[in-house]
This record gives sequence, structure tokens and C-alpha cells, in this order.
Amino acid sequence: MLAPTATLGSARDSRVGDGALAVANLSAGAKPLGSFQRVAETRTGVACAPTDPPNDMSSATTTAPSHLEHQFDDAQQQRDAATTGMWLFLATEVLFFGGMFLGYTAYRIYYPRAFAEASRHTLIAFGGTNTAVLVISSTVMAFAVRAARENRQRIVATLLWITASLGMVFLVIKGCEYAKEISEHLLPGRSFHIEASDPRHAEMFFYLYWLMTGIHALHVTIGVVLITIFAFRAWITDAFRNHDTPVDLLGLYWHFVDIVWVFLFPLIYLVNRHG
Amino acid sequence: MKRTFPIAGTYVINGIALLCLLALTIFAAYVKLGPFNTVIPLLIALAKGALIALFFMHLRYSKPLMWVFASAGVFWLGILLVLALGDYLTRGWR
Repeated sequence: MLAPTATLGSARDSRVGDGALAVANLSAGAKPLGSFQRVAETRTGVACAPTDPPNDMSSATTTAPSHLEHQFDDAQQQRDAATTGMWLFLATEVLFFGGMFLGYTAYRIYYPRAFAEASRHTLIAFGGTNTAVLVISSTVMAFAVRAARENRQRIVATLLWITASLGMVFLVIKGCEYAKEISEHLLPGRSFHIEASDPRHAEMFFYLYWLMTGIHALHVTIGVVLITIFAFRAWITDAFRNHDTPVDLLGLYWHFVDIVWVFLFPLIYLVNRHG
Repeated sequence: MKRTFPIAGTYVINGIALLCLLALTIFAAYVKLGPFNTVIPLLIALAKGALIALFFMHLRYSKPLMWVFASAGVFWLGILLVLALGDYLTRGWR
């Protein structure tokens, strides 16, 4: 048991050594190296010339990254690993939603008329507004991620609160839409009723509608909760100071939820609006 | 040096572009276009999804490894759709 501990200890020591060396380089006005390059960019804004001489030692020294786990060589490698993991999770989400999209596609190919008729009963004013709300919330989230990279914690928190609020607006509108549809007997089940030539498969459309929008709304709910927690952490603590990766990953999740809705919207609301 | 992060204006333009595409897809849905009433909304959705992934999700500025993972998701979705629909769409062939 002694040997691994010793190895671990020496690995940590060498990392600290690297860090000290890089900081020394920074203080000497040399070109920043490795993981510190990104920080140097952040400090002076976006994509500055890498040859910019560092002039703020305090921000350079605080970047000796306390959040760096021992298995990673440097902060950049840890960041890449985390981002890759998030994309992998999103790939599984693509397949999770993909199964439902496949079911929708197969039924729509088999019963195009029933789906066209059923789609005309959906409430496009709600759906269209919600699409715009999600797009705007995604735009705000993009700015929150940017502010996190620039270490502006108060702005991060504010933008995340706006994003979460827009997510709430989406859920409230969705809830009103659901309530109206229930009152119009469009919830599949015993009370389902629709004026259509093929009510059985129009009901299948609404079964898929409730399933897909419901699971999407669940994702939005999870997103709103996470974004709210992140906003409070950014406001109260220093959790994301010089460590913006979590905000970055939260942004990826939120944009993915937006993409899912971008595909749901035409398939649900726009099947047959003409004629 | 390769940019690792877009400028702020990119997000604004991307957001406006997404809203314009939304308006376009709703407008197109109310015009009688035959089979294009199915194709156009899907193409617009693909364009919107690509804009979100490239600029909001920074894929445009990411390393090849992220492209591999992002494409893998789409590729496996393609397998799911193509093989399954290959069955459903050809059942009428005798």
C-alpha cells in the first residue's frame, strides 16, 4: 500500500512543480504555456493574441487550479475529458429521443391523414411562442457561458436566472396548453374525443404528442432546477471562479434540450396547416 | 491563432437567425406546397439544430474529438432510423 501512495504523492508534487514553472514563465513575461494559455485568453477577453504579456499576477497565481483532479495532466485535459463526457451523454439522449421520433415517423408514414387531421388540433400559438422562448433562453445561456469564461460571476448568476425564468415561462405556457387540451378531450384515454376520419390513429398522434412533449418538459424542468442551483452558486460562492467547465456543460445540456424542441415543433404543430 | 470562442455578436446573430427560421417554417406551413410541406420544415429544423450545435454549443470551435462524439450520436440515430424504416417502408413490396 506504500508504493502507490508514494507514486501519487510524487505525481502531485511534479504537477505543482509544473504549475510553479508556468507561473514563473508568466511573471517573466514569457508566452504562457499549456493550461495557462486559456486563462491568459480569458483574462484579456476573447481570443486575444497569445503573445500578450501578462500584467495581472494575482489572476495568474489563482489559476494554480485547485479543482484539478490528480488523474489529469492539466486543466485543459480535465476540461476536454469533461466536455467529451457531456457530448457522450448527449449522444445517449439523442438515441433516447430517437426511439420516440422513430415511432412517430413509422406511424405518420402509415397513417398520414390521421396525423394531418390530429395535428390541426394542436395549439400553434402556444407551440410557436414556446419555440421563441426556448431560442431566446438558449441565447441568454450562451452569454452566461461566455461570462463564466470571463470570470464575471455576478453576470453569470444574473444571466442564469434569466435563462431559468425563460425555462419557467416555457413550462407555464406548456402547462396552459396541456390544460386546454385536456378540456378539449385530447388526452388519450377513456375521455379522448376528436372529430376526425380515423379517431383511433389520431389518438395515437396525441399519445406520441403527450409522451414526447412530456419527456421534453421533464428535461426542461431538470434544466430549470440545475440552472437555478448554478445561479445561486455563482452568486453566493466562488465555485466557478477560474473554473467555468460546469457552466459550460450546463449550457451544452440546455442547448440540447432546445434542439430537441426544434425538431418536435414542426412534427407536432406543422403537419397540415395549409388547405 | 484558431479562435476557441465566438465573439458576442455571433450569439445575437445566431439567435436572430433561429427566430427568422422559426417565422419562415411557420409561414411555409400555411402555404400549399405538396410534398415540400413535409420536406421544408424538416430541412429548416436540421438547419436550426446545426446552428445551435455549431455556435451555441461551440462545436464550430471545438476539437476534432468533440466532432467525433457529436457525429457518433447522429450516426447511431441514422442507423436506428434507416434500418427500422427500411423495414416499415418496404413491407408493401411484393
